[in-house]
Amino acid sequence: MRVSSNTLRQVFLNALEMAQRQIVETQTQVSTGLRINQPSDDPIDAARIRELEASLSRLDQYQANGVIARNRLSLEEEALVGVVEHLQRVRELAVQGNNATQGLESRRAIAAELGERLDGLLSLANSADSAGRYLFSGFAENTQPFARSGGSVVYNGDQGQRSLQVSDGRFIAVNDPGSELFQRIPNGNGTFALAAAPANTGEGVLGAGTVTDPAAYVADTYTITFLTPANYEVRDSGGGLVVAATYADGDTIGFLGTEIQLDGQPAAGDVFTSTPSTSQDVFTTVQNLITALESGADDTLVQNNVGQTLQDIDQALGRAIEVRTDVGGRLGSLDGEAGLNEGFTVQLTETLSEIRDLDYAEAISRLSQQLVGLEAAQQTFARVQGLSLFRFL
Amino acid sequence: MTDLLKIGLSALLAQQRALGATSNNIANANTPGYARQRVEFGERAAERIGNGFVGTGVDIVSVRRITDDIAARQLHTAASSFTRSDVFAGLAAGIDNLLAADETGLNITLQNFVNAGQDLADDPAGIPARQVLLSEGRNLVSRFQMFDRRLGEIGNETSTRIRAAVTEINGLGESIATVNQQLLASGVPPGAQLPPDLLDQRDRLLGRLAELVRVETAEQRDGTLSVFIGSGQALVLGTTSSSLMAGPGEFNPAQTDIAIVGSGGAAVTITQFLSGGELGGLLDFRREMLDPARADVGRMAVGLTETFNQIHREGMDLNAQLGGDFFSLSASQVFPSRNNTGAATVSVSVADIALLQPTAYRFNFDGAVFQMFRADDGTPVTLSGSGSVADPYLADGLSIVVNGAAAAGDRFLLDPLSDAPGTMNLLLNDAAQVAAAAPIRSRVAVANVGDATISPGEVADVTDPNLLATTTIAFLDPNTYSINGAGAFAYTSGGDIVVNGSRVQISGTPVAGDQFIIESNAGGVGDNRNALRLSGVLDLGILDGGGTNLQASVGQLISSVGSQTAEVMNQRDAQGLLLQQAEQALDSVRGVNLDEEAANLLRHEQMYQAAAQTISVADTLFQSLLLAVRR
Repeated sequence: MRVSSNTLRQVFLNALEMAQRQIVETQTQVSTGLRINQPSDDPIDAARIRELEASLSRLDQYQANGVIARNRLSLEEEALVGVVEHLQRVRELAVQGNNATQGLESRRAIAAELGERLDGLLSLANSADSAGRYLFSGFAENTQPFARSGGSVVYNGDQGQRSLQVSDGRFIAVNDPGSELFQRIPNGNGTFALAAAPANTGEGVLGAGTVTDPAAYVADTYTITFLTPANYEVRDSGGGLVVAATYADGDTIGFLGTEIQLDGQPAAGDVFTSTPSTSQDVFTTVQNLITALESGADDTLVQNNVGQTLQDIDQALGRAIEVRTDVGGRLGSLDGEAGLNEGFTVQLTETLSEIRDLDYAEAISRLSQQLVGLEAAQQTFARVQGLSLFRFL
Repeated sequence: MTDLLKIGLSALLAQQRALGATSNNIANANTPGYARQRVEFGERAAERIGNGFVGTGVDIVSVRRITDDIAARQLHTAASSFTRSDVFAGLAAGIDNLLAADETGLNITLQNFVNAGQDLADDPAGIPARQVLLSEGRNLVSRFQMFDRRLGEIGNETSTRIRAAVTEINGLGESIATVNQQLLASGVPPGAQLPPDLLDQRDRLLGRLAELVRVETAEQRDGTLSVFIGSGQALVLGTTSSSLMAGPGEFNPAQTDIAIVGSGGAAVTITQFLSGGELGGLLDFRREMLDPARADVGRMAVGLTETFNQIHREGMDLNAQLGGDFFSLSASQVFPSRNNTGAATVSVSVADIALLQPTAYRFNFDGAVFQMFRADDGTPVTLSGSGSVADPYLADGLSIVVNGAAAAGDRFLLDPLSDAPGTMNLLLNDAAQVAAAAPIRSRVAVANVGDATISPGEVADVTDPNLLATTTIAFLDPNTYSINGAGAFAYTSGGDIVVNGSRVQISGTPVAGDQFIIESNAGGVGDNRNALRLSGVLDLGILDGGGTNLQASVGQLISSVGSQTAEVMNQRDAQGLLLQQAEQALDSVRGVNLDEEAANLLRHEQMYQAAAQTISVADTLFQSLLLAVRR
């Protein structure tokens, strides 16, 4: 083919231009440290990079949520530890006060300490975080959950429970409403509660009631009346006779799948009742205990009242321990999720780096190769252009 | 003797001419479009002497302009294809760069926005987290607006360049017609050598024209060249040229359309027929890349706005009010054709985000019914409904209402998505109005004896007027309940109970007298249920029939723009090579080779010297004769 002088020059110029363009490309990669600088460099991976970056940001957010959840739950756990301590002390004091050797004076002293404990419990139930948000008022974080009102304590919060997202699809509850923790606690043994009539004259002291056959139990108020010290009958709320039996000291009274422990000798006409459990808040329980100890009533009645309140305290204590265990479990889950998230973060960062970052060794060797090419092109251009027949004319 | 002089002189003159042509070639070696010229010699008629003939010298038969019309035509085609890809690639790189820049990344802005939603969920009662959500919302809006602005600027640039290209094409058409005129005026008889400078000039004009748009040419018998554009419209016919007109589009005035105005004065729109060259590149870019990208971003903006608003409306703010719309946006752009004769007006709105397609639509009335076609690929779309307000046309997630009577042939362009990102706004100013809480909450009555629990409750119908009223579900016995004291409904543990726009589930074993209450969540400032739903908006498959979430949609845009750009860049490189080859092919025929010219220079110089020698010999002969007869 015939070659025009122009073509000769143009071909070299094109080669130079191409070499320079490649060098600029490599140089951009080296200076940014990135393999992909535009989506067109690698369309699929470019989109993946953006999505991976978003995923990493999302994982960061989960970790931040996890820290906040941890702080909230740690605060709650601290408060719960306090609640359990108070209730255990209340229980000790109740046992102490129940002792037949106690006189009125010492019982009043015990009641005084119980009053302190009651205040302590109330203050814990109204715990707030550093921003002043109450821990136990459900969604109504700005409302003080518990307030005294006419001798009792009322709950002003709601039953809401807030969850934070700590990983894809995993939510951890960061509060427990005070209603569940302090308020809605069944009294007695959880099925029924016992009481001795204040007018009793005998020495019968109620022990624990147990349910031996839940299927046989029918919820109702049952009245146990001693006709003679050795004979009693049980009637339901409608006055229907449930059972009539004989009693000797220490016998259990059993009917409809329940058993009631009774110690001491009741007198004729003594009445005991079994009523279905109802919700009773922990403050009322402690208050009942105080009232019983301060009452100055005869020993048998005090022992009956205090003994039965002990059951209520055990229920409250059980609830507090149950929630504390649950909170501990949630804290454990947080640890697990944080570990998983960290693992994911490491993995995603590695993938991102693999896709996005430049292999410097490869890029530098490519650059030097391209530079050699450019130099060669430049040199041949100069030499070929120097060749002209006119120089020999 | 005289013969010898005459022969020598003819040779001298011929070589002089040849030297002149060679010098001209050398002089024009770098002139673009110059075709080298060669002097062609021919012997003069011989004289009969006796029974033989003797030559009488040399003549210049012609000065030939050496070129190759087929190679020239191939070069023009290659130039059209290359410029088209080059212009397309240049503009595509603009969008490519827009998506590449970290600070403009939609993915991360979206993620930051929902992260702010998570921060809100962490502390719904606090004002700071709410303000962060609002400011991230503003960021997101400005990101969408920025995309709209930048894509709009690219669109404006495209239109400006289209107009500039049209102006230049008109100028070139006129120049070619003028050259045709000059060729005719040169008085060269048909079939003879035409003036080479005019032909070179015409080639150059044609070459530039081919860079602007693909053209077809036909050389007439009289040496003039006719140029055709689009689907065969004459841009140059002999000595007359038509002009192109770039004006407001038939539908959208911002979309420049191109029409050709013939000698009759009627303008014919030829936008859709133009291809190749800068103009073809600009039009292709607008149709294949810019418009789909705008519609795609628009679809994301609409999807986000509608979905987020919907969730936000189902929440409750710090003032115990139901949430309002969080973002505002308008997705209702309709352009009637300016040729419409009917009185119909068409309005469009989004009915179902999941069915939206990233395209505009043609909406044509044929005299009996409306027909709808995708604007990007022309696919017909089936319409349901009757077009009234009560029963609008439904197609591809759009709801279309026609008011007034359309005339046969009336056409509309429905473009609800392209402008949507630009109209996006944040409606909420007050941080307290962020609806982080659910509007309702449930509770178990304190006195309940059974162990049944109630779910926190969710909104089934936010428009229910009694949504915030207190509802009491009371159990008459373990298997039957009443609602607000009325009715007796059978109880199934865990089954949905929908009442007053709320949905709850009660599970477990209730006891007669147990009560469950659903009530307004007023005061529930610590509730983050709606904040969690809001921050989950990116996980929802809201587009493409529910299969694509917003993050994936952004990813699809990035990879489709990236691969389109990469493809057109590859095309440009390939066509650049083809263009170089075509240039070389033509240059190998037409271009000047200086070494060749140097050799010719030597050859003709030597010939000239030899011819001069002939004259010298003639002179010597003559002198000899004179000496011989001297007295």
